[in-house]
Amino acid sequence: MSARHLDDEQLEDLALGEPRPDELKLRAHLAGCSQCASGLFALRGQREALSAWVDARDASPAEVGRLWPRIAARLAREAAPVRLVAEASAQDAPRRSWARPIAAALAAAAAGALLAGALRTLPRAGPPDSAASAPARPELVQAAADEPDGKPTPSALAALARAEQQYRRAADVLEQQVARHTGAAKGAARTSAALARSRRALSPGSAASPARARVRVLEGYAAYLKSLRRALDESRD
Amino acid sequence: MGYSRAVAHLHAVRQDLQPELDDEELVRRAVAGEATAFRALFLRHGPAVRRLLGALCRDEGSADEATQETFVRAHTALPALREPRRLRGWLLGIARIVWLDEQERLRRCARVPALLEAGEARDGASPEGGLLDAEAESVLATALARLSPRRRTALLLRLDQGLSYGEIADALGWRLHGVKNAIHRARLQIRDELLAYLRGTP
Repeated sequence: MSARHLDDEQLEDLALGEPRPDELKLRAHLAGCSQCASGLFALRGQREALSAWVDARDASPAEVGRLWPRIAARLAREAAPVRLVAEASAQDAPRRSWARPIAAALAAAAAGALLAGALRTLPRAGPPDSAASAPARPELVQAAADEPDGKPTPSALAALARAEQQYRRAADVLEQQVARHTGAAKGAARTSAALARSRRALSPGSAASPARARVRVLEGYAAYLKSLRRALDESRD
Repeated sequence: MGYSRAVAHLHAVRQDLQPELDDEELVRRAVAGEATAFRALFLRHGPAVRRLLGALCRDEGSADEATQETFVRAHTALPALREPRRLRGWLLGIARIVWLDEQERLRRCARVPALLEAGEARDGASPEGGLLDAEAESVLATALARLSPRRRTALLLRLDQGLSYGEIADALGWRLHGVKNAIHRARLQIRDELLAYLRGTP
């Protein structure tokens, strides 16, 4: 008989009844090798005993199906990204804990950006009503700040300060989430170090900072939030 | 249940399962927001997840809770699933993490030890376990309880769930060699425990 015995994976596949392309060859070996045949016999016994033991603790598919309403209720409460419960309205599902601060930050930044951008043509104009729902466009603020004659109004600076405050708040919320989800995860230390570097790169804004400097801070925060969200997504992957 | 009601029930279950759609398509639809697709995935894979958790938790209530938690987490992470055709292994991997989290929580609460370790050998009475007598089952339960969580999970995924080594490696985030090693050692350990029992040595 061939000296090459079946390995664990081959024996297990045979015990499990898994189809293998080399099954005929393996069975031919088994027919003449008492060591492998007894190994397969013992393995089948282990498998049957294990399955019987698990069976005794298993629930029927119907019983498992009865868990669904509780899962659906939790998903509706926790507002997972996929719309799951058809009957739930868009208004009744709460958003993730960090979604609101981020949305607020983006809205504030957008308002600041639009306000400052308006300096180019309408220096005294206030933000349009739609500003809060527009995407953040710090580059618009940058363009306005670069204009030789475009001096930001106090209201534009105030909007930028609000945006920065909102970004900071969103970062705090996301940092907590990341710490919670990556605490024991592989690579958490690397992620923490990368995030710490990003955070250090943010220069604190102050009431006296010019618009240009504040915009850079906002851009830094936007990148930092992106890193945090990526870290959070990866921790949940 | 009358015959016509039973047929109607089976028909409804079949519709819920959406057997004409494969996992990849159901995942795509669930991520796109289709209300019934995730439910179909749950009905399709929930029993395997509950079975693994039933064996790991060894307590019905905990296994049910952990099954719910597994699917809530899976739902959140579903858009990031890279290979939907490996959904089952991915779900079982999440189930294991949920179980480990629960163990950690229990350890922190310091009310684990008796439940998990010593009592294990005696909690195995199962009228349904027709293949094993109570004493032999108790020995097997003891042997399984003495396995490390790593070896126990790998063994269950391989011999009970029928996952391949590669699928287990993906599900648990281990190297293939680690999977082989864990299963091999788990089997040897159980065999030794059973041999000791048969020889009448503790």
